[in-house]
Amino acid sequence: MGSQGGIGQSKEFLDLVKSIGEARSKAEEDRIVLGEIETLKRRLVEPGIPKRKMKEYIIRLVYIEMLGHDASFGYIHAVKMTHDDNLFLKRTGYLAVTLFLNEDHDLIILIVNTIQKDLKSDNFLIVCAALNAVCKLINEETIPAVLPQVVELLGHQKEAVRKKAIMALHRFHQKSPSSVSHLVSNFRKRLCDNDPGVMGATLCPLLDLINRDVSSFKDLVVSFVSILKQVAEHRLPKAYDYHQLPAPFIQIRLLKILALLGSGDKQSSEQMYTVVGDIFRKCDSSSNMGNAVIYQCICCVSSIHPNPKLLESAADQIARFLKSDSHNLKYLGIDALGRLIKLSPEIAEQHQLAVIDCLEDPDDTLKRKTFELLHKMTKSSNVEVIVDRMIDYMISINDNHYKTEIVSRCVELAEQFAPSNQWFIQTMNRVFEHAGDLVNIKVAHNLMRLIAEGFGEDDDTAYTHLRSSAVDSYLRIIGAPKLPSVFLQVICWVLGEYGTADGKYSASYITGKLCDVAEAYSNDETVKAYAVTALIKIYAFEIAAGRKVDILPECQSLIEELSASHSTDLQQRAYELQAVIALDAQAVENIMPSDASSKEIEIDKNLPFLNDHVERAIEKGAQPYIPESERSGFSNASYLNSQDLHDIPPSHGLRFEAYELPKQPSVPLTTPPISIGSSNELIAVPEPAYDRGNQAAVSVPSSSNSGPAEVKLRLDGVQKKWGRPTYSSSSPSPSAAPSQDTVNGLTVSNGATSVTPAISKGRETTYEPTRKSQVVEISPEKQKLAASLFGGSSKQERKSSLGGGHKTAAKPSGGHGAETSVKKMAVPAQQPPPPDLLDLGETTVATSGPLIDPFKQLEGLLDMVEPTSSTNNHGDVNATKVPDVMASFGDTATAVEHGGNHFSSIEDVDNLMSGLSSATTDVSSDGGIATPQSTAQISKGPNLKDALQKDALVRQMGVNPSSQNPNLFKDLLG
Amino acid sequence: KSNTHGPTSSKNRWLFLSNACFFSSPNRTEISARIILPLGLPSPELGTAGAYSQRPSSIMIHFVCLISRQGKVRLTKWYSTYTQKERSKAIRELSGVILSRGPKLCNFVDWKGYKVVYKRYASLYFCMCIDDEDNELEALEVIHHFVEILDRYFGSVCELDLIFNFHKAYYILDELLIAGELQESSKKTVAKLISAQDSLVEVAKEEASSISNIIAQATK
Repeated sequence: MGSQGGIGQSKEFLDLVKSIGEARSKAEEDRIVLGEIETLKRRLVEPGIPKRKMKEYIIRLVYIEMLGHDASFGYIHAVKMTHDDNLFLKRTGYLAVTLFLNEDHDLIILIVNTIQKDLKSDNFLIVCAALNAVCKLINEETIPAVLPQVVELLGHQKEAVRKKAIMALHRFHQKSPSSVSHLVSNFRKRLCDNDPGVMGATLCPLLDLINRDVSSFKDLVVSFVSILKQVAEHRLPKAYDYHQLPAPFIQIRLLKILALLGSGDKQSSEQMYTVVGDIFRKCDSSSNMGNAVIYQCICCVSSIHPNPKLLESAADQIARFLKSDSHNLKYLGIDALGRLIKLSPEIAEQHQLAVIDCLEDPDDTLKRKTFELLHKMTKSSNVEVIVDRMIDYMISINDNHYKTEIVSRCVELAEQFAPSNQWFIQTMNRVFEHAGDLVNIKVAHNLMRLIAEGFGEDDDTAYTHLRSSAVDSYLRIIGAPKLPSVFLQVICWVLGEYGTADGKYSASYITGKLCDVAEAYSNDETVKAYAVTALIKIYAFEIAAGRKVDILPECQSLIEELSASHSTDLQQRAYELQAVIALDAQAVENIMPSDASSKEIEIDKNLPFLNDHVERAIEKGAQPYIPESERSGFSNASYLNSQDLHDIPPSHGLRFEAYELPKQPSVPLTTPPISIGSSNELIAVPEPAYDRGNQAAVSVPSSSNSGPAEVKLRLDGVQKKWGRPTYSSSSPSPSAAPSQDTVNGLTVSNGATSVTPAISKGRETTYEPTRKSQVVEISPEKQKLAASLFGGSSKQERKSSLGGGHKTAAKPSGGHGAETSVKKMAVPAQQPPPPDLLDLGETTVATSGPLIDPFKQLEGLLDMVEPTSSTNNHGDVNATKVPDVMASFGDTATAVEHGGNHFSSIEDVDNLMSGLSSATTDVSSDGGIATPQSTAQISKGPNLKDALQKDALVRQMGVNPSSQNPNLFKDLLG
Repeated sequence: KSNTHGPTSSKNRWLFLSNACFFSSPNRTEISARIILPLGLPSPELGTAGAYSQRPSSIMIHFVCLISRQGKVRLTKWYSTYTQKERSKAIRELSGVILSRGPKLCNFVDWKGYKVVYKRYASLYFCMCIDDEDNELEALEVIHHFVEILDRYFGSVCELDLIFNFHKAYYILDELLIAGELQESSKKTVAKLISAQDSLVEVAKEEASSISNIIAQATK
């Protein structure tokens, strides 16, 4: 075929392409394109352009757009071209619109009608072109317009159409999951399509669906495993081979799916072990594609319930990757190592030198991946080296996106594993200095709090030492030009609190520095505010200590300037400062006790000092306050809400059906409103707001006539994120507490399951460190680095890794981890625990029995975990499996009996093709007219599909005579 | 004047202190109300050990572009939504990074939290942007798959073929990838479809007659 088969392009166009090709600079290219745009603008408005010419113009528009220029002036012509009856033109039109328009473009509405028509075309090529456009252009709002037709096309006789229809549905699912949620069974059916291409395409939406909701697809594990097995055994048509590998792209998709399904599910995982092991063994490791499959296998192995044998083969493959000369394979090796390291921490050890080589590689991509790995294997023993390296690298790069990422990693590691306060503060200073603008403000607050509280040591001298060293370091840094705002805030706060605390620096020295900061960064109000507040503190401490306050002239002028500031916040601070200075020592001691930043401030919520005022008001005839919980009806209402909120139907974008008629409230009013003024307003206002977007049937409670609680409110459609309405907050809703509990319970078992394998793993497999042999030719510098990264003595490390999560969680170097956990128990107002394996363990301890030794608790947990988790899984699988299998494969099963007559020859062979094809007959027989079609097709003989099947069949028989195993397909067909 | 000016009662002290510690951010409560967050706030990817961090999404190709060694664009196809401005910027940035990379380095580069996988064929770079968590080597083979199909179609393809027949390359790409996914992994099938489209009219006629035949039979 080749290039001659195209349309005769005009000389003009060829010249254009040529001149662009010869352009020496971007500027010259731009000039040419701009000229072309002018030409086209002129030409397109000419009357009576021949269609052939028009087609070329459209292609030229595509060309312009491809080169990065705006061709929107011609979009409408492309849209018009899709309406054309000529296939060539229509195809060009569709190509152009899919390239031009994003899904939110206004012109799409003009194409929807054409697409609808074309989807019904009896020419499958037109249908294909339309489906291509559907995938790109149809947006959430227009999905309903084409959905029925696309679903119908799932049963089209051309596999190319079925495939594209599947992909279109997949796209719909990505855009609006609710729009196709009722079509899941279609995907399951297509999995049994007799065309491997369609089957392969179906894996895409299934992967997505499973990603969202693993549990409802557990019944398909058997099918996926059996498909993967057959694919790996070379049972698909040869056309799907890629570099002698059997359908590797399909294998990879299946492995991704299995990884999801087997994650944390022992029973499902066990079904996969054999096939994954087979692929490990069989896969050709000399080709890129083979390695891609092997890499996916490793990912799968590291995700499913661990199996020692598979982990071993995975480790072998990783070793091969890392030893390879190819950077690509090294990269994958590092990545895979990062995945496996959680399951068997000891495997990193044998690769330490390879890892260090990658870290020092000039290739940035590889280096970053290695940092990712190091991040995963950081412990308190190697945190200093790793964070140091990360910061060095962070300073050396310009890419802000990656900088932010690596900064957050540094901070996270430093907070988690800091060996000493000193180190932590120094590290943070470096981070703030070089990338302060990229750091989350919370990090700064944590740092301040750390300096204020220390790590919870009792030792007072360590405390003060920490603070004075912080003050020292900040006074050193403060003069540096252009410090990030966040860092300056920290500096100001620390100087204000502790600048004069140890008596080393005089108040005037510190205040002078603070004024300098406020002056140097006069655009930054936040910094200025921090500086002024720091000044207030310094002066207050001076006054309290009985010293005379000398206000430096520059401070004086700063205060004056700020008291006339446009910012009310700054103004108020300035006035407060002046007020404080005017007070005597006694009063100052009261309002600003020194070193009180971390003291608890007690607030009497009853606000007793207002009692007089209230009594006076009541005497004057005011209504007494009724607590919310005692107001009638309220508790009811809140109960109702909390119930309804739990089952919300998925919301749709636009509604295409008519609204229901409004109903009268069914329950008559029983309780009259108590106090019109307060309660009614409180309720009537929020409710209608919740109902927005809800289709119907709500009689809006108006404040004049409604007994608020008794009216049944329709709350479906209310989104959970709004939470419970505020008025019920004082009386905890009945469901809140238990649900919290179950959440805890669940997470605990989750966390624990993933801990256990790691531990058992550690005991079962031990690797002989291969270091000895390598050490010979290694430079001492690298060895040193290796030792510091991977821990000098392997035994010690291994022990701590055996200890699993809890040790590190409980006492990262006796640091803040422990401290925070203690505090967490003490403080009732607890934040929701972060999704961390380690922390979850702690929270349970806190909730179940606050004063029991956390170690013992954890040990107990670990022992229990194995049985409980596995029984859970059993229950789960059994419960979901049975009905689902019946539902999804019920019709497939009947298909076998049904189609048996026609297909007896094929049916005997138990390969993928045959089983699947009998399944399709059923589908078509559902369709009524389709049955004769498919039979006709078979009787007709020389047909493309038939030929394909025969081809497969013959090869099947020839290559694999031992495959007459009827059991294989039992799995698939239930 | 406002009551904060005469700070004598304990209430005022609280006002002051809370101001002194925190005033501008929603984090005010964190310290003043003594709600202790764990210092080690784990990032989600670290925190959820096994399950989450390793979850692959379906392979999603965000865009494909072909760039010549001189940095000229030969083909672009965007599967995710980008404005024209973002497109130009992406191409500019990527060609800067990719064209300057040495020959022995990995075929992957980080780009704004995504991975761009590229491969050079003669004077042409094929680039493909995928999710960070995805299988890079697979994407590399998708590129190669595409090149093999082009090669088969044009008969030992060269850059000139693509320069003058870029629209054909688009048609081929449309049969290979759809909605950012690999839709067909059989070269034969793709080739068949493309040739069917090239001889569009004849096939269409034949199809029409055979379908009407079938319908005629069915309705008899």
